[in-house]
Amino acid sequence: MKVSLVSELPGTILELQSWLKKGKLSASESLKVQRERLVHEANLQNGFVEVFEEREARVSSHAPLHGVGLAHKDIFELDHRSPGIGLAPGQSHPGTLLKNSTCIEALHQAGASHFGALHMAPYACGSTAQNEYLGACLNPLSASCVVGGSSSGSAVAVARELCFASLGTDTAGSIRIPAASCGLVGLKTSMGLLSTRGVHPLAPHLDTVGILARSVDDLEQVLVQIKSHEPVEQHVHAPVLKEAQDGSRIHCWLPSNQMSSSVATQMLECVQSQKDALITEDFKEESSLSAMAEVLLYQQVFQTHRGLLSEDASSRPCPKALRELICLGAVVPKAWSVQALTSRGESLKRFVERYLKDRDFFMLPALGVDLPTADQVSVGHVQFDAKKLLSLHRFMGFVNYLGLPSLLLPIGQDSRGLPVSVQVLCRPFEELSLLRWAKNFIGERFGTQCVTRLFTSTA
Amino acid sequence: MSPTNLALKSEIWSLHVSDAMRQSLPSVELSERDVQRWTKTFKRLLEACPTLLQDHDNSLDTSPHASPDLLSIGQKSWMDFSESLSRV
Repeated sequence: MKVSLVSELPGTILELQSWLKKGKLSASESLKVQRERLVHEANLQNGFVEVFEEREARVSSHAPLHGVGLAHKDIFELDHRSPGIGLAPGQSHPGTLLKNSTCIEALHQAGASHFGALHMAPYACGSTAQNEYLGACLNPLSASCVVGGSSSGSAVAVARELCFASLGTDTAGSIRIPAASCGLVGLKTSMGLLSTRGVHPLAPHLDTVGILARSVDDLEQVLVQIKSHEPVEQHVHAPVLKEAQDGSRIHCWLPSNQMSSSVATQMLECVQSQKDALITEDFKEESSLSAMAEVLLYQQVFQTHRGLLSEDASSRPCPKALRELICLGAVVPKAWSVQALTSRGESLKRFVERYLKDRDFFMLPALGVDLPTADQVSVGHVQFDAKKLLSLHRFMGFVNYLGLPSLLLPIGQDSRGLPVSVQVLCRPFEELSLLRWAKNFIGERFGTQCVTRLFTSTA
Repeated sequence: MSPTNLALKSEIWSLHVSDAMRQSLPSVELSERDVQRWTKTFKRLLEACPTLLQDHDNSLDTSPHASPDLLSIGQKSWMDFSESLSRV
């Protein structure tokens, strides 16, 4: 039987592909249904900055992602559009490439359709959807609840089922925080695994491209298709993904004194359900690694964006959050930057030897607290609480400094029915092993692979 | 780093901020609040990572910043190790 009702579209890419294979609908019908939904719902509150016109397919109808609609953070250079980087139309600098960024081109080659550009914090500098140029997008789970940033539109559009998955970027949590706030899975990839060519930089040596989706299968699909179709000539030295292997031995860092009791309780129950898990409160290097991550962030932002604070840049907007980072980069001692840069490899080595030598994965909190409201983390609002804002990215930055992959996945709900999530790290380039474990974990824990079905929208 | 040393270092650093800003970002006007805020950040980083200044107690130099050579050295040390990892 053919399907025509919008509500009957499957929730994940894997399910859609099964429908296509069985002939329940064709790829063009699938895209038509998805586009019909965009006509009604694709607006700024739902994460869309711009919906793109339908373009003639350049690839074979047998391409693996044919019929799959995606939309991405507005930070990628496209062959028809410069990235808006979270600014008002006309404020960002026109690009010179006019060529798809590497990851976008790979997804085109894999047959995916690109529906539009998504909301983000200006310059990818912000851990919420707060945006002084565009306004904010809304959390589909609860309109009063924060949407994490900076890939905020990616999280909202995927959670609203306006696209199957979305590419975002993560410099200090910008994929993981939005995924956690909207009840999705998010993958921050190993440093260097996915090309950042054509991606507007925030801090180039910390920036990573990653994926937000509704199932771990879909994260894997998108990741594998990017790696299979990335243009070789542009990324000759690209690291390869290691083959998936079975693994389940978890080292869990559970810093109870830095978490809300409800999150700590859920995380403890979750890790205790894992056979042979090792739980520790002691991860003493975390504070110094986080400090190194901050120093490198300041140094890199200063190097990349100092021009925004020069006299001849007065016509170009520089949001307050970015100004702060640029200025900190200007005054941080050179010796600190040098130390942060040169000890990076050694820091990774020590971390792996200590926590991932005889363990497959390292689990740690995502946000550590129940999701705050948008007002509580909006700078300038009467209810603003700096501690709650800090809690969003408290456990994020050091992962970028170490260059490790991190999978964000929900493990349960808080008393309001909103998601509680964790991060799980693995050794560099072992994303496929991590995703294999996560599929088993999600399936056993929830009995479904589509994580958005765990949460009820009230927005 | 002892609390006394930390306070002293923070004091010296706050005096150095305006020079550093003049050199790196001459068009930026500094407010007293800016300096206070950044001094707090500086203290927090030192407390979190006391080794940051162990070998560099006399150096608050901010210029020139890390060169492209240093960036590639940092990147290379990471890549060398990460690519050499074999699964245990």
